[in-house]
Amino acid sequence: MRQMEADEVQDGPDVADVYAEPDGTIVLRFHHQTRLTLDHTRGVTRAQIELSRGEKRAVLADVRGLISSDRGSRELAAGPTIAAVTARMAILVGNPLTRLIGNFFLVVSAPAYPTRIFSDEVLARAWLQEDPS
Amino acid sequence: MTGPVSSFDDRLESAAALALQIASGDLEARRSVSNHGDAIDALVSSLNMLAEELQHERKGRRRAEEALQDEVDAYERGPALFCSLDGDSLDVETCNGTLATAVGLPKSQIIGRSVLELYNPEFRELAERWFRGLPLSASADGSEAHLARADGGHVIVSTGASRIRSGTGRERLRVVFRDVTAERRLESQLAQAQKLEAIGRLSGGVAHDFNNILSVVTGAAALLADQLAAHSLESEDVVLIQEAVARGASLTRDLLAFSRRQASRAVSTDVRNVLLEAVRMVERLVGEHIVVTADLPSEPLHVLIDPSQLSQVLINLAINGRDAMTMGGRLHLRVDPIPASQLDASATELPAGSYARIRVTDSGVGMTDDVRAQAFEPFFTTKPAGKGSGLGLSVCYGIIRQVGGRITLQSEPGNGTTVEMFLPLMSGASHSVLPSGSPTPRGGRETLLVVEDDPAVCMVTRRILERAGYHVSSAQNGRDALAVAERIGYDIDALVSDVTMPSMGGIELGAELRRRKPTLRVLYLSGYTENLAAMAVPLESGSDFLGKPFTASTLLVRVRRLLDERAAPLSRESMARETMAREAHDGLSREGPSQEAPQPVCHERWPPSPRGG
Repeated sequence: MRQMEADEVQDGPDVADVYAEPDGTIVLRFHHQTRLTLDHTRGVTRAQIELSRGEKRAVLADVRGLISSDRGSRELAAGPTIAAVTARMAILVGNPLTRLIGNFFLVVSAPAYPTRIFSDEVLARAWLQEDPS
Repeated sequence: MTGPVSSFDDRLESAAALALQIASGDLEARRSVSNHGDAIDALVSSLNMLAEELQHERKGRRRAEEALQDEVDAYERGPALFCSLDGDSLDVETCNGTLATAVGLPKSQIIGRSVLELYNPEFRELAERWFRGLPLSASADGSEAHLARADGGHVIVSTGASRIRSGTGRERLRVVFRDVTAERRLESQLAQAQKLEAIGRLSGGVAHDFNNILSVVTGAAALLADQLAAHSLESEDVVLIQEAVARGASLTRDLLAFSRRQASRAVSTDVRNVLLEAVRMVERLVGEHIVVTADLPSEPLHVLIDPSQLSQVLINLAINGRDAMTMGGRLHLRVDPIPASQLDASATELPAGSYARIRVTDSGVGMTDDVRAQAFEPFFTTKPAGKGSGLGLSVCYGIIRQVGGRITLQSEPGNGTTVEMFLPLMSGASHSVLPSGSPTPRGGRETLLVVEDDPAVCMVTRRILERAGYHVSSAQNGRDALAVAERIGYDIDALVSDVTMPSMGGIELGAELRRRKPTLRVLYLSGYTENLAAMAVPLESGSDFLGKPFTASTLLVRVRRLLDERAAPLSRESMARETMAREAHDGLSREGPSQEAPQPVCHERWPPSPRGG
């Protein structure tokens, strides 16, 4: 688990590192070869909510390690629970599979907050820092 | 889920197979994604997710379909009668199964026809006016109407409707009928029962007053007869007077029976015995052109009723049946035990319990609906003038209702008539028989107190008793009677008192006097009293009852018998019972019928095998 500051890191589930950066961005880095289920996503969600401390934050979701995600995890991630603590989400993908997973999430699950897919982390972070207006 | 496949072609082929499975409807199919992360993996992953989404959609659709089917079932088979109409033509466009069932027609014969054709003709004009007058976007409730049934009957409905504009711009009417047939039938029965009750009260009141008048006439006629030479013209005139009084008394007795105010001696009675006696009498009454048969159970059926009154009921019904079969026919009497477990309380409108059901069925001309509706009303008759008083069925009604039973009548023109009676069964096998015979009236020297609020009846009664040798004091109400009794030191051997008097009735007076003289005997007089069994006053030693109008000889016989029964003072139990009776008469409390017969028990006759069946 990458640790920035002790009080800004939450123990995520086995499938991801979840932490907050000094600028407030919440980072979700999924581990290599993760088959994401609803239970996993619940754990990640709890960690994200804890780190957000009641505020909507920019979220960088690095899904380059995912192999699959089930419907339950996609619905939870797209639903009002995450939307309550997410200002916008940049999804970082790395190969055709993860791009497909990201597109499926974007198109079919239709999250209730602004979402974009990136293959470049720098661009992703830049977008997260943009003024929404 | 199938495991990862190695070569590119194999992986591609596996993905294609997955797509085929999904397309064929197997939404459970999945393939494992390898860790190549390439386009094949992406393809397989997307197919897996596609199958998952389709599966979710399918479950949702099934739930929606089930919910829709529940709604359809509720609409189609619910209690209300639904239909929708074209707003202009009033043609039925849709209707539910309940409406089709109610009118006895298939939907195909309802849809496409005007809703007005569902109504009985007399309601169509009003219904059309109401439907057409309903404004757009308004809902309203209409008046009740009759929908015609295919079998010739009708359904009474209340109507609600709303006029709407459909998506195509066309106006439609949404109509809901509520079947209120059962409610109206119950209301009608209640109204009929209340009407008969009111007529009964009126009849009973008239009969009571008339009985007092007859008492004076018959008493005075008896006194007059004593002074005339036997077989003289004048004595024959007196006989005519007495015979006329007897006919008048019979009429008032019938009226009181209808009003359920006839004095009766209800005892535990085996219905079979009464039925057998009645059959023998009926056979003589109806003539040879009518076959009389009977069905009786092998076990006794005891009900609490005056056997002479039950016999009267059966005779009345048999006479009606005879008159309906002028060309001959069949009259069948039947009695069955109906245990509590077999009683359909809701259909018979009887309290739960066991009953004896008596049916009298004839194969006569039957009755129309109008005649049947009035059959139990007093003085209603279809017979020619002078051929019937119109009280026969009324009397039956009063007698049966008086003992807590129920009597109904089913009849159709050309299909005969069945009268059905339910009488509450009781346990116990005692069957008392009233003493028969005509004792010779005798007088005496005892001291009597006569109390009667009608001055003429009081005077005649006093004179009859004085003529017979008794020392008689009299009063016209209970309070005066107490004063008279006190003045003579309560030296009274018997009280002869009317039951119903203002301020203090006869029962209360008797109880008061017995507190001062426990050996006092009491003869109650009335033509207007409740069933003594309901008063919880078994006529035990020390008291008796005489209905008005009474003859002089009957009065003398009963007084003499009462005085001759004098023995020990009345027990505390007897006085307590009189107190209960007084309270019952005042309406303060009511005890159930006594199970004990007032007379010694007679052994029961075993009925012979019934004839026919």
